[in-house]
Amino acid sequence: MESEVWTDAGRLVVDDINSNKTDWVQAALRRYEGPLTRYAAQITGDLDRARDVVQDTFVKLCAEEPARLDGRLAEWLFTVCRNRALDVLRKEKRMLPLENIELEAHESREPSPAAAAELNESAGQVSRLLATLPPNQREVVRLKFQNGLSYREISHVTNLTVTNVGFLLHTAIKTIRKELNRESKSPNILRNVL
Amino acid sequence: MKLNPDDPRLTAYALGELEPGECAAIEAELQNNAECRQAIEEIRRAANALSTELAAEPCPALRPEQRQKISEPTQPANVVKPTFWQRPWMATAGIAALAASVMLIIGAQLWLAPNKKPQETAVAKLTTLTTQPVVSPVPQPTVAPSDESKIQVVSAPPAERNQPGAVAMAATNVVFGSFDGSTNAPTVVLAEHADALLKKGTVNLANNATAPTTRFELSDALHTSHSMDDAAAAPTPKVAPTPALSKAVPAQNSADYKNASASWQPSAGNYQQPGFVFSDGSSAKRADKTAVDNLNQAGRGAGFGGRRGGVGGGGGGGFSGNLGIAGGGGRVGRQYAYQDVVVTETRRTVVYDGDPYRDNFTKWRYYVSPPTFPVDTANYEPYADNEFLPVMHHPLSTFSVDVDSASYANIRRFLNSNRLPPPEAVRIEEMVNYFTYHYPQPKGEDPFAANIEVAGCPWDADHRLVRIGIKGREIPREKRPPSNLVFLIDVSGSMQPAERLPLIKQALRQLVKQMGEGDRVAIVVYASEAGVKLASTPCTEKEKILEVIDSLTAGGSTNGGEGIQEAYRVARENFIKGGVNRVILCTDGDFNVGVTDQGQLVGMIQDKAKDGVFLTTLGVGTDNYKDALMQKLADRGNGNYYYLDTLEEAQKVLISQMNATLVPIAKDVKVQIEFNPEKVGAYRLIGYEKRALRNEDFNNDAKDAGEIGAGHTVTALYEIVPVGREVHPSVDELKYQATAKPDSPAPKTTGSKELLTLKLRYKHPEGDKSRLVEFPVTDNGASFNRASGDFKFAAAVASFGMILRNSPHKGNANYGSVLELAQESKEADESGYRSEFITLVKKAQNLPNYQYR
Repeated sequence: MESEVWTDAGRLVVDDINSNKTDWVQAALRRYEGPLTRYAAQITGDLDRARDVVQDTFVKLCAEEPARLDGRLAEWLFTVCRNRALDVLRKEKRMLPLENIELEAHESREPSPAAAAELNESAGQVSRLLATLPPNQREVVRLKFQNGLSYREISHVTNLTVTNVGFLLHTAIKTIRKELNRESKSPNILRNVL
Repeated sequence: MKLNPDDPRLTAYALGELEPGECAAIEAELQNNAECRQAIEEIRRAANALSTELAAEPCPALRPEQRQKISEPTQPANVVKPTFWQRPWMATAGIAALAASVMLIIGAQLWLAPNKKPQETAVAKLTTLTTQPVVSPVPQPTVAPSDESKIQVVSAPPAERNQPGAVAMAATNVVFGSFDGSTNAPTVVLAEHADALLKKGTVNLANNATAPTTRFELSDALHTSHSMDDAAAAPTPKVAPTPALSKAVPAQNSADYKNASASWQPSAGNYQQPGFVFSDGSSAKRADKTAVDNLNQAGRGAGFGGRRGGVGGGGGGGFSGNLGIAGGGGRVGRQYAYQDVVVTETRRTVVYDGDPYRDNFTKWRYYVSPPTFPVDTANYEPYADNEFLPVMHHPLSTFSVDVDSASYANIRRFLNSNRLPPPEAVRIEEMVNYFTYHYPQPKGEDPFAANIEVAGCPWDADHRLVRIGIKGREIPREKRPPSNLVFLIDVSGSMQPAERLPLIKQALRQLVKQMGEGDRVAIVVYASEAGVKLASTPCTEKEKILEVIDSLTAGGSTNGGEGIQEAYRVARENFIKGGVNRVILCTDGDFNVGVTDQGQLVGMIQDKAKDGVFLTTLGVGTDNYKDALMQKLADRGNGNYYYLDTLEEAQKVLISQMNATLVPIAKDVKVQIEFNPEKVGAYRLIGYEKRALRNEDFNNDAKDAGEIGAGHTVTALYEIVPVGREVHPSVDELKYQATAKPDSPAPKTTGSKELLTLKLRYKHPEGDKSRLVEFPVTDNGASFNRASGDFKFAAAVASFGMILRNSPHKGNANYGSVLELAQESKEADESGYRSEFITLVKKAQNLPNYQYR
């Protein structure tokens, strides 16, 4: 399927989406595998578990009717992926023996956004600002600007109201643009702050 | 329509998220609002920067075999994953879990059918795993315990079944271990039956005395129970009592038998064994002693013996290590041989792998989990709720402000591990103050503003609720004065677990990253001895500071007293006048060497605080957590106190609210309310029990009180009984004094229409003389429904606190009403803390309400 056309809302524009379900899943996989894994890793804090989560997500997708998800595929995938990732996180927090948490904290905590930004000094200034935001603001910012979901879609994925999503994004952007403004006036200050 | 540049709709508009109709309205407004146009410009710029940078983050792909699986539509459910014990983080837990499952099956059977003949039902699934040996098979105690043994659980030929054996003993241990610390009936029943089992010598395994690996032929539970009957005639093993073991497990089966019995015994905490007789006739008491020794040795040898919760845990664990299994539900049974007190924590997760028992298991779990509260040494001070006070006799109410929020984080930790917090760990003012409220910034000279709201009381329709909100002046990040911070870090053995020192290290790393050029950081550590790990270093050398933080490891006992002396000395030597001078104490609070007397420690801190050095206590840890001491230290040391349960919480305290945590804008802040007896019959301060001051201390500048940091909000709630309403519990009328009649105005009053007057006293952070500000308040009779979102939310949090404390004043508050209130007021939730609160309330709602103390 070389000629896949995707709209922002994750709508696969092909002649007949029901023509071949395997193609449909494969196309979705190609399009969303990376973004979903990245998203899941931000939640689980571990790439391997994120991959398991995404695999589960797509396995679930195989059982869905393409027509039913038409136009809300992205929303569906992110929702299922998020719920699954949170499940895993909850379960493993309960199941983990302590020293293994420790191990994890030392070795494989890479994608925790705060830590990642912290470790990677060369990361962009915006990402570093992002790391100072509360987790829920970080999440909606990523869903919006990294994955292109709309307020409404984000509200479905995160179980927040649309107003709340708008408020979170607004607050996050306010913080970021304040710092950007300050930085453009006096480049040295930002270095001090961060 | 006048559009505010801070309207969320502008963001929505700039991002193309508004409906066409709304768009047109905004656009019309934008025509003549340059400020908003500027805002939109900036929003778009920020959005572009975000999109560009975030798009550059790598997108990891699935592994090929995973992708392969997805494309096999015939097997949608076949998810390729490493089997759970192959995953690195499950390696040890898996063993414990397997053991636990086998054991619990046996246990369940015993318990479920105590009086009838065991049925052929239980199934322990065939599993092979590689592990540290449970028992060394060779009959010399010197055998190296590190040989890898294979435990295979298969059906055993009957002939081999009648040998009493060690693994089965471990199994029996679990039966007991699951009930560690609980004193309720099922425990006893089980103990008795397991006891019977022991005496009969029924638990079987074949063992091969010469092979380096042991094949345990542990049959399914059906065989086990059968053999219970078979074995009635089997000889009881006779063994001499073996003293505590700290190295290899003695190999002889019978010896294991003995020792196994001994070592788990103390882990049962304080439950009384009903007539437990050991095969050699040794008393339970002696076994107790031996076992405590055992544990202590293992504990010290391994830092934390048994913590691993796996077979042979903690390295030198010996049978104490087995206790790890014994304590274990599925997750991990943590047992600390610590300070001669055995601490056991049993989790409710049970790994179960055999469907026929599903139902029985549900019951089993029900009995196993909720009542098993740890016999821990955590220390909370009980206290009674404030009572209603009649205004005629108590016109003044005085207390010290409190910005601490530790109690809430601690409660969250309890609820997230599916336990209700003990009532004495619940401090309502710290719960209410955990949240940020949107009080207006102070205007003019004063460092803070007061914001007061009066409305109906949600849990008692006859009462009024007064919310006093104090907002400290915010200081922009870049205006933070230069800081001289001394990290005083507890690196004793108890700090080892992930949620203690490793968490602290990550938190401090993040804090150091945020420091600027004018700031200095020193690091003092203490364990058995205290020492300066890093002399005060300017934050231009961040790498050096981070390196020292990274190098910290835990071990040894805790001489906190000496550490405190040392830290204050360093802070004083590097004192920055006009700057922030603060010691940040990171510990689980368990001082056990040197100055351990609480009074003495607190006195020492109080003394040091006079030098102008402030204190922040960051508490971590669970079982042996000394909440009361931590709070006192911060209280007396001109400080604030936070409990860090997660990295997120650390980020809130140290990064998001960095200025509030670090920069004091006022100290010794005291609140005094004078109530007008014409309006108020009685009142009750909700929370702040530990912050009460005597009325005369309000004007006494020598009397210490709480601090407020930049941007902090402090909220206090008073429940008021309007004059003329009955107070519960009521007191008899006074005999010698004229009491006000409910319907006649109180004698000799000013006739003021005011409800109350709020008086605040505070000192400049470096000053000695206090200033007084007053705010008169009138009640305009607003109903609760008309109250602000912040008011409703604070009321929700207070109700939740009263429920958790089971306060006599909770009125008709219940989880449902708390949820309703919180839902109504959670829209402006910048950080998600309010949503999290709702989740916690739901969690508490679903927990069985056990009385466990």
